Amino acid sequence: MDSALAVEVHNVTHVYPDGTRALHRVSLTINRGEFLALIGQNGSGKTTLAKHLNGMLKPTNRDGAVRVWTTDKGVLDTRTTPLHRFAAHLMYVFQNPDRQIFNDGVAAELGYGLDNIGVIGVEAARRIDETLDQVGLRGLQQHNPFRMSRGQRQRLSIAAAIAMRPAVLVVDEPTTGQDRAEGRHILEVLRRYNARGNTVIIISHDMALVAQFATRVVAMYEGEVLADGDPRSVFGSVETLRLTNITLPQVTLFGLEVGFPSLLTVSEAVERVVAEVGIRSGGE
Amino acid sequence: MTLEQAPSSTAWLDPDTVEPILRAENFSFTYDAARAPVLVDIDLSVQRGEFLGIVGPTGAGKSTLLQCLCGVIPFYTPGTRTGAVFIKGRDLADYRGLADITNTVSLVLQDPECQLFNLHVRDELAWGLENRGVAVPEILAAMQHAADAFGIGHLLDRNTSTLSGGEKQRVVVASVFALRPEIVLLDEPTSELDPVGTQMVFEAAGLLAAEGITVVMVEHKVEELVRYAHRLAVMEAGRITALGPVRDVLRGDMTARLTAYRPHVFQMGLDLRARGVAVDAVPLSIEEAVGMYRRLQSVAIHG
Amino acid sequence: MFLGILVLLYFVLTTLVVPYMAAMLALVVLVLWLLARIPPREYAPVLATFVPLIAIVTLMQAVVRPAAGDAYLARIGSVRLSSEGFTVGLAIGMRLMTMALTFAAFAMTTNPNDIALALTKLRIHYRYCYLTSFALRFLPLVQDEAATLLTAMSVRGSPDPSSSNPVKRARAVTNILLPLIVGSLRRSVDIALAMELRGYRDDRPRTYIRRIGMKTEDYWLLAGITLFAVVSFALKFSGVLEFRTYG
Repeated sequence: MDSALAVEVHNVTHVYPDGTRALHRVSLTINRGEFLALIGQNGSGKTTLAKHLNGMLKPTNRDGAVRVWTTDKGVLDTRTTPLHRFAAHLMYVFQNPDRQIFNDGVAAELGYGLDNIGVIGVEAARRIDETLDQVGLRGLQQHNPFRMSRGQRQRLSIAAAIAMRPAVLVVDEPTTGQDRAEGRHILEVLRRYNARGNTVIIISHDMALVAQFATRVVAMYEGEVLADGDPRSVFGSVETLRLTNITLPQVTLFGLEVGFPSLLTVSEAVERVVAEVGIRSGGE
Repeated sequence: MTLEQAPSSTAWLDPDTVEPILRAENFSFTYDAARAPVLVDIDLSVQRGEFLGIVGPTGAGKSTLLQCLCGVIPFYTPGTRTGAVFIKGRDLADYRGLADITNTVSLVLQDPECQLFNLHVRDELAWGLENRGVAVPEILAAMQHAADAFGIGHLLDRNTSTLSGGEKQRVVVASVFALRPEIVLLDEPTSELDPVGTQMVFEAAGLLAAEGITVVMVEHKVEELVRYAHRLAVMEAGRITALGPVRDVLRGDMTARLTAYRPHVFQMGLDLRARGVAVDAVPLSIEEAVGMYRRLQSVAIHG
Repeated sequence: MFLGILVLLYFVLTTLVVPYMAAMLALVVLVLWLLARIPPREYAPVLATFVPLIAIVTLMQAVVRPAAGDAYLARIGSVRLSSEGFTVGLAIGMRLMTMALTFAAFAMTTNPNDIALALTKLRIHYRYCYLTSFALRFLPLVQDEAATLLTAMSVRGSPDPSSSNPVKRARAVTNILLPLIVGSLRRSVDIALAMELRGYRDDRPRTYIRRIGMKTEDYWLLAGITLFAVVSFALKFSGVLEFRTYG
């Protein structure tokens, strides 16, 4: 058993009760420490795939399997392990914070999950304080989540997941309903969590942020993996991506138009243009 | 409507020539039971037919401003107002109630789920007109026009719950349009939507503008917003800190937090200029960026 | 349709004779099939869930009811099943099924808009009539939210939502009440505002683009119901069939 493995998706097919085939024989190996972005249009299967990772959805084909490796060298099979047992190992954060907040106090909300996995008392209080600091909600222990802003509630949902210290964190659309600064802040929180050795998987349609934060991009199309690799190579495979209608970041598209290899950030673009056309005095 | 189609003549931007359709003068607002004002000294004039974009961080007061411009504040939500808001030259306070104002100014909210009240799209389009007691033949004509204008004819008999987020918001905009408002305010309508839905809504806003309706749109997705807006306003902490043509505002001196509101190609253009590259017009879109680069290339080649 | 239901209900609740009940059931099925063009196979699975319930009721009645004379169906140990109880139980079960089917038929065949319209014709103020279609519009949303909330609970490590213990499951539901209620309250504030922004007014007269009227099917139904009512009354008062509500 490879201890560098975090999650293995093996030959998974998923057909919904109404007949839609959301996934078709998808296999994917997710390694520990990756910051993986699942991209694709609605209906591509990215959310369906993400929901298989902790067993919220199970493969509808007999030979499909999803296995999660725990830090103590155990393996959890999503077919045989009940959903609630994944909590200490893989946490899934839903897109809408209002569908996963149960308590009217911030600290109580974090404590709820901790209690479920057997972390109580002093250790729980310590983790709560530490986690709130990490996500930027320091000092708000006694606040009522339902009176907080959307951005704060989103951060709270992520805090509730991070407090469980799962080795794998899955976040569905971390930046929905946020302003630019908040969105960036949340991705920074996730990056810091990833830097501590944890695997972070996000579903996102903000390609600029994906370009900046992800170490690996998996593009889905019609239930299958279309492209899989680091952001630069995935965003560079234009023909493949054309199918998906994914809107690449502005600088990437600009670069592709004028013949540069995939540019991921503004500064890369600037450097490239300067290198190509040189500097002329007289710029304003 | 793309930037190329936006009116190049700025005569109508001159407040002295034409009475603005919407105006806030020295306007401040504090919610009841709040300690500090959420809007401070707002001076804003919106001309008929313009597309004004408003950007800014959460909590800046953007939603509150929109609500003050359409009468939700004070007729629906109480608070202390100082200064005045004028709709077509008439003081907001002189209106009798929200119902009278919605004939002229309408507001589209963030969550499409809360703005669809009927089971079928067809009934939704008609609902507003039914409320007003408009005669049935007129309602049917208005519905047809709205469905055609917004390309939702194929959705008419669909159940509203089964629509995608983008489709829902598009139906909302079309339903609001059916009421023939002169001004439509949109409060982060693409906030919950995916890129496809976002496109649908921005297009819908563009269609409103094409019909001559004055549009004021609060949004975070600047890359899209600048394709449609003539002018941009920046709000921070209850004040308007910048207001003017899109390019001017984006070039202006913004705090570090707000540079996130520059489209990436625009930032690239500014950075290139700062490095001494002779950028003539800072690009607002990818097409403009490509054009800029090609011009730089030819200058570099031919000297 | 509404009237039809009222009539049906009256008779369903006042009779206990099995053959009669069977006839009523067949009648409803027939009406649905002919007039509304919904074949039984579409709702058969739902009806099937009633069968265990009917079986239980029948059994219970058979055990509990004393038989007239010595008419026992069977004897298991010291428990005696009376044939009369059996009959009564069966009738009650069929009553339940017929009622359920009738209500379901109502839901299946009537557009909620029309319900609202029908109510306005009865001179009930629009603000109440509207509630029916409104509820149908937003109920699925609440159901959706509840389902996600329960899943989120499991994801957060709680074994309650999927527990086999109904007490634990009930506890899970109480846990989600707070977010459900807060969400619904917040939504209703937004909805109320959005409605006013769309010009909703309580005091002015409205127009309606939809109209309801009687179609051929409705006339057939009306005729059928009248016939049924007449026949049933005749049977009742002539004493041909015994009509009892409850033994």
